[in-house]
Amino acid sequence: MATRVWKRFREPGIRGHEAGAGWLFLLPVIVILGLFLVLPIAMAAWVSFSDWNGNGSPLGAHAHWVGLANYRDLLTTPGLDQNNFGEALRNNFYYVLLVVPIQTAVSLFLAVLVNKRLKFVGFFRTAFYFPSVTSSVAITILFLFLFSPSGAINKLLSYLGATGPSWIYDPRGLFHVILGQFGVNQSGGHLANGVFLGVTYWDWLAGPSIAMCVFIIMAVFTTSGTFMLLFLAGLQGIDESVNEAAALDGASEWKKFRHITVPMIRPTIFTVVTLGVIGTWQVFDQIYVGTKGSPLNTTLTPAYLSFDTSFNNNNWGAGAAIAFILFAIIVFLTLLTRLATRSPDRVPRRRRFALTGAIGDEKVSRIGVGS
Amino acid sequence: MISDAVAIRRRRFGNAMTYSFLLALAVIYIFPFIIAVVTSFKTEPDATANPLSLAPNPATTSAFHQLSADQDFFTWVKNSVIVTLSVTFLRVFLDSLAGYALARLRFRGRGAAFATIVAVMAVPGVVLLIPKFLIIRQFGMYDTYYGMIVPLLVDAAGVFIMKNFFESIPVSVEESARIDGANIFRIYWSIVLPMARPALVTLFILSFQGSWNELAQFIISAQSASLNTLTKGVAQLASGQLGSGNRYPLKLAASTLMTIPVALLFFLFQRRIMNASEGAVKE
Amino acid sequence: MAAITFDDVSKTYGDGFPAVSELNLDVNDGEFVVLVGPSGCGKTTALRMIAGLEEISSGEIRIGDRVVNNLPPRDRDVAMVFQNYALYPHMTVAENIGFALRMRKVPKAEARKRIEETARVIGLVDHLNRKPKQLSGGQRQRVAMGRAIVREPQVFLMDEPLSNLDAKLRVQMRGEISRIQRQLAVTTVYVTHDQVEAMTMGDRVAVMRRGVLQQFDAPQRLYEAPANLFVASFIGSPAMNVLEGTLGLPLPADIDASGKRLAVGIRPEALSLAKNGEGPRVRGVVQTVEALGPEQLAHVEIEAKPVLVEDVLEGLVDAEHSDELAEIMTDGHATVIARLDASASVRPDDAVELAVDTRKLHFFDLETGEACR
Repeated sequence: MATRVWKRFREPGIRGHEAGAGWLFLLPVIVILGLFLVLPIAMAAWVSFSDWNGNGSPLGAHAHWVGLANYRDLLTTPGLDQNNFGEALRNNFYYVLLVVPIQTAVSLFLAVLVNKRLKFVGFFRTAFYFPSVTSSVAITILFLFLFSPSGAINKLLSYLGATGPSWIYDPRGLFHVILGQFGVNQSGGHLANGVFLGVTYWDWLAGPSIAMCVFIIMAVFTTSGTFMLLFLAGLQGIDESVNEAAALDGASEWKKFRHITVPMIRPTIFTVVTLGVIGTWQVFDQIYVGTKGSPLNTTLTPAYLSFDTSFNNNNWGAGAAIAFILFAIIVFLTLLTRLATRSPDRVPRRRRFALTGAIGDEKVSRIGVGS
Repeated sequence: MISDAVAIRRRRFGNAMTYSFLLALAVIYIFPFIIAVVTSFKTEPDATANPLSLAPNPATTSAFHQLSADQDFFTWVKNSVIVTLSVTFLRVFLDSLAGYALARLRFRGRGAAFATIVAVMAVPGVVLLIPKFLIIRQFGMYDTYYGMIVPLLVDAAGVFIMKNFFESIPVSVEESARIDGANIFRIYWSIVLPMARPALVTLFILSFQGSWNELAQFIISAQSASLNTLTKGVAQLASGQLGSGNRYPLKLAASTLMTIPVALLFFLFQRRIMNASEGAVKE
Repeated sequence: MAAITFDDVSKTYGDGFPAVSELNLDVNDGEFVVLVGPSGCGKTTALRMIAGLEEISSGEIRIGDRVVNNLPPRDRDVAMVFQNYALYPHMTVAENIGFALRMRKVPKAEARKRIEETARVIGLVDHLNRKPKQLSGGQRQRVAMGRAIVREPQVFLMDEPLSNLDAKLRVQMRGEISRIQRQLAVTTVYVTHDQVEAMTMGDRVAVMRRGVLQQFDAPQRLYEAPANLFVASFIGSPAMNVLEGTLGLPLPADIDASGKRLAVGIRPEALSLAKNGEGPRVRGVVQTVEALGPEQLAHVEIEAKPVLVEDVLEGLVDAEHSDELAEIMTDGHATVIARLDASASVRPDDAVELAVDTRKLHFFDLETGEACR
């Protein structure tokens, strides 16, 4: 056996030492991914079950096994940890709920506009994509300036005769503000008393705070260009003749969009939604640069909370636990979108049959004309 | 039956509508950046009082003077350049090596290696902040360039892009080189890599942009001020830890300066970037 | 220069598909051998096994007196021309031609000399600094040839090198490759699915089908003495007429037909319009006539049963005789094609008598498909 292995090594055969070369080529990637991705995840998993406070090594004597205590503090034990975590979840939930649909719609709209064969279309594509290449730091600073209480946006609103809010200093929930317009204010009773994850039901219904709305607008502004490119690629995959056929059938622009374009780029839509969900649950840079969670924790996100709990409060176990819960949320939502994609996946395939059928008919009719 | 004239008029009207939409949107997308540039030439009172005005009154370059006089800012630029260049070149090289092995070389375990890389790709980056910090510290790389650079050296998405590209190259070219007497390393270096230029450029742009704009990785891997990159330094400037007042002209000047390299790269390789989403397909 | 020997060579792919089965073939030193057959017959696999691009499952391949089974391609001293040329797109013509020399560390001055010589042979002296993209299809083909020539290898391997060229250029390049090969006298194995290419270029031609060698012979021998029904219907255009039974035609004395079901094969040129005299003949009605200038092809329906065994059908399909195949498939009648003199006056619907040249008949055993000898 050993000699055979040795012989194979010495007589490499017609493909030379390809296996060796293969592993050699892969080695750096595997080592780095292993050391800085796989290994750290295992280590952080251990920390999330420990009481490590940042002193010494988490693998040393300073860390003790505490079981699920960190997770319990976040999920079931009332207290500050749970309260912060609940608020962070709520904030990010509304962020996702607003950003994902809006950025999908906006980027699709942009893609449809710049997909037309018009002059200067290249310029517009560039303009819409540009925010995507800039750093989150620069964009956040710019938005803090634009949305400062005496900033450009409020100036603009004042020209229109409106008074803008103080934006990033305004902790009021958007839904609360709207409900307030109708005279609905915090009631007593069930909504005020019921508590989930340390946050009252009434506060769960707050919607994104006005401050968070700034980040929502910023997210749409910066990511719509990227997703526009994805949609553009999808749109360019549509056979022009399908649109022409629809036009001949008398379909209006909107009907063509609704009944031809959207179904045919459904896979791209799901890609954009999936990427959107994954990305929006990871808001960190903007919060770090902009508000650090203020005002009144209404821009706190799980990603930032995890960082803050560990690095600033030295509660590493809880910080790691938050990261793992966030991981679970993202994996769960990704699988959910996958599941949702599966059934509509059949639609394009059916469509393809319909398409070949149509081409077949055309052939038949052509032969009919010929004979 | 619609007459031709009506149809043409309709189409003209449609185009006019499209253009007005496009123009309005373009203003929304571009105007903030114009404001950023203009404001960096304003005085602080002017910036606060007239945030919308496009004419600095008085115009001043004091923000830029302040930055160039500030030793810190140069440190940030230097660090950003060091980190970005190391990450970009090494990443393009390592990703292309791995991509080639996965696309073309036959060896046992190739499928498993690829599956692992794809799985790793799915792990969200923010989740890894704490884990990465722990490991960087454990390896004694905390607060060093190594800790800032090494974890960024490999990205699974880049491996994926390169693998796809290499698979689109006809095998016969490599076979021809094998018959001509080239060994695996020679084929990779002299034949395949030059042919992969479009994909390499794409990967270069993505890596440059990614590492130049990176923030979180630098926050968790270093704490000394002397290791601050532009993103980290400017972010600290923004959270007002240094000095008083809103200092918007200064902050926006710094943002503008840090945007210039990626903007340049973007305008230089515009067409390449615009096609990036279609995948790095062969020319 | 070296001879190439296949000794019981088989190639089985991972899924159990036998691409080549027990191939035995001797290519002489300096010989031009063509491997021909329908797609999937194993000819390309056989070629790639010589090159070292495909592993050998069992058996032995020798180049000269070296067993090359486990030798990587670069140590085999072979040069190969690919169907898609496989030029290095980022290198100039000179760099393309010189790449192998660079790999072999040939001194620069000598390399330059050899590149220039080669460029002269292939007629691309003025294009040495162009990139492949700037060349026409024919010129790219020449570069691919040049890359092989400059190596002065023991063996040339060519994998359908002309199939991407238009018809006119293909004829021209055919002649040129033959000329260069004769001039250099390098042992050459050439793969094609085009039987005309095979017949005009090869010193000897190996006909393959489903991984099995059918016949290995000089082109004229393949035509005059096909070993079986497959070779008979694959080689020759228009294809041999193959009919069940003997049609009452006289059997040569040396054929033992006792207890065998026979088929008779008649080349189109073995049929002629019968004059008054005696002799074996077949009667039929003209269906169509194709005038080709110096001659005409008459499709004549006769009272006979066509042979519909797979050997014949496959041979016809892949030799691109699909119209003849269609004729066979139409009804129970057989249609034969006769190659007639241009002066013969035949029209559709004419009843004709065709004289048969009995010296040019082929008889096959219908059970085995083998020729009766």
